[in-house]
Amino acid sequence: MKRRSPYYIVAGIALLLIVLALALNEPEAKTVAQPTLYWGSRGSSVTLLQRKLAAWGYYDGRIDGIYGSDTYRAVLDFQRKNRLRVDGIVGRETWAALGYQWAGGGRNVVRAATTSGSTRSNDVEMLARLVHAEARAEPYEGQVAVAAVVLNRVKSPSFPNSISGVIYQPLAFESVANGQFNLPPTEENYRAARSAINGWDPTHGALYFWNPSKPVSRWIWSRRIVRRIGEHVFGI
Amino acid sequence: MKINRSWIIPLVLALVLVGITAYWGYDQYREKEQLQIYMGNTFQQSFLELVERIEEMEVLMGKSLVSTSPRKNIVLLTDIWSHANTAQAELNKLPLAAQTVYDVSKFLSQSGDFAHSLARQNADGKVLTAEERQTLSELRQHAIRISELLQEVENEVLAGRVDWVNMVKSTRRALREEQARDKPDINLDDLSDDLTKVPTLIYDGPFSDHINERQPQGLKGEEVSRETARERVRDFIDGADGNKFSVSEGTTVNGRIGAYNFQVETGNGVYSVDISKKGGSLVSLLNNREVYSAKISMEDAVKKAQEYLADIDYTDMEPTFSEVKDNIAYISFAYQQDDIIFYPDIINVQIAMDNGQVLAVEAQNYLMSHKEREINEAELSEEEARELASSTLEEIESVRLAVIPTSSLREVFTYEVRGKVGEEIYIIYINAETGNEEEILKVILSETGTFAL
Repeated sequence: MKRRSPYYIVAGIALLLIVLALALNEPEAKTVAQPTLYWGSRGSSVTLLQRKLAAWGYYDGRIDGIYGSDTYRAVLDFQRKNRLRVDGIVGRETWAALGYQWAGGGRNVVRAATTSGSTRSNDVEMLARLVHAEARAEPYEGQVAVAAVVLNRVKSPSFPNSISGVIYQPLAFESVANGQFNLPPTEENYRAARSAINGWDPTHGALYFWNPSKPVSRWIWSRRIVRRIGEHVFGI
Repeated sequence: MKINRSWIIPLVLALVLVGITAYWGYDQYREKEQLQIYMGNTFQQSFLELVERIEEMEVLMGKSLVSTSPRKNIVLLTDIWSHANTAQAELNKLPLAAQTVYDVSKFLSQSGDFAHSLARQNADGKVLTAEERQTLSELRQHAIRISELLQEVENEVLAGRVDWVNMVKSTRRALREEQARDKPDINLDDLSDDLTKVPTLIYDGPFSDHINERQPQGLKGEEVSRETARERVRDFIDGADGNKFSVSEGTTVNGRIGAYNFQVETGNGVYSVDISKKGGSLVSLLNNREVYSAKISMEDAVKKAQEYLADIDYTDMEPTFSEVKDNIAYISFAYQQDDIIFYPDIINVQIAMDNGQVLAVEAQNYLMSHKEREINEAELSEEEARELASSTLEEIESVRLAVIPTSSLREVFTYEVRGKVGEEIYIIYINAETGNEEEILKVILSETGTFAL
């Protein structure tokens, strides 16, 4: 039989579609800040490390989430090629070279309440993510401003009274609704979040920000505008 | 005759694949449907909880008004606070636009907070004044009205006429589009209209209306023009080297503290500087240049920051807190006068640990609260304060006089007693007039931060 049956093509296309659909359906690995890894580490961060190293051709062992001798050699190789300290420890620099944020070593100081706010590290993390999701293309000041708006809302009676309440309020932030919020923040985003928590507020008390070049509800323009930073207008 | 059966295999294969695809599609559909039901249930639960809590609030407010025993009333009032908090949190979980819930949310926060302040007052042995009872009664009328309106909505919800998941979509559309929504799924607008009549609430709590209406008290001097302010920018920039320095024309900042904003380009990064219209004082300063590995010590950084503040006319500032993160020192200063530290008057500073440059300053707190104060002699002696605290603290490290802000920004004159219980460090603030315990702080030290209290 010379002629190729058209059914094979149909079947082939169907198969391809299914594979594609399943691949798209595969939940993406959460890109959260990663812990320090070394020989003996286990878990999803190791899996992520192995997958990344395998994709870049440093690692050909099993992706099993266990940091053993193969993974160790691959990390050394990767560090050598990228001119990092060759120690087999995946810390801040190595994670950064792999394209991930390092979760950091110690915890932050919890400060006394006589100074405003608290510096619980998950507060910084949440604010930094929102800054990244809402304002990563904005100047630094605009990033601090977005974090400050969240903190101003926490203090306002008209909004939820906690950082997580404000951030996860349904429909309050487009980036939380569409999942951008789960992307890892940059160093600058963290710094902006930390400044806001330490009291910096370029918005002088604003509760809203919006991008005037995008469609927004008319109601928002009835707010008193404090100032404009980058692409965002801030209002009370 | 030989029949060509070569088409059978591909046909079967194709049918199997179609079957798999259909099954997979159906499975996806089911999964989506189940998630939607789950989402809808979550919203529904929040809504029902909200209705219930507001009803509880209203009943408790009624009871509180007829209660004759301050002891019983403390319990009733604290319960109102608790129900109001939950109601507020549940309301804010519903897929409604911010402007829709704005007023109801405020009403719930404030009435809870107000009840809490009354409970504290009762705990201090003071009964409710006629005025306070009147306010509570008015708040109750509003709670009844909200409750009625929500019950109407509840009937719709229970009859299955409210589709929460669809509401997410329609609200989202409404937020993006210019025109108002034609027909809102839940009409809370009636509520908002009703609530504009809620009286301004001034009381001793963090959500009291007086907090938003505060005016800056620390601004001194004449109104300055934008040009004058622009000329002054250079005084506030630390370590501006000569080769590059340009200041923008400036814009107006319309906040609580009227100010001008300037963008300053220097060889040491770009600054954003806010200068007050009244008096031309530095309100805030922000620079985000990259900071390299630390070359100076924390002591140097604190000293540098203190000298800088004194140079720009913020004198008598004492360091109270410091922390280093990514080679930047975050240092908090409070105003000190006659050996009394004033925690409301705070200025925060960031110092780059690579060259000691002042990267950022925030003086809004200071400018809002700083004023000439008359402080009476403390009624309580230091010995008495020490003795009060020593009943719980095992080891007292230091005692000094301090003025602290309450949650409603009222200033209280206290003794600050710092001591240890085992390995834990606590700071107790004892009212210098009454001997009451005003505030307790727990101090947590870590590698990145130290307290300079």
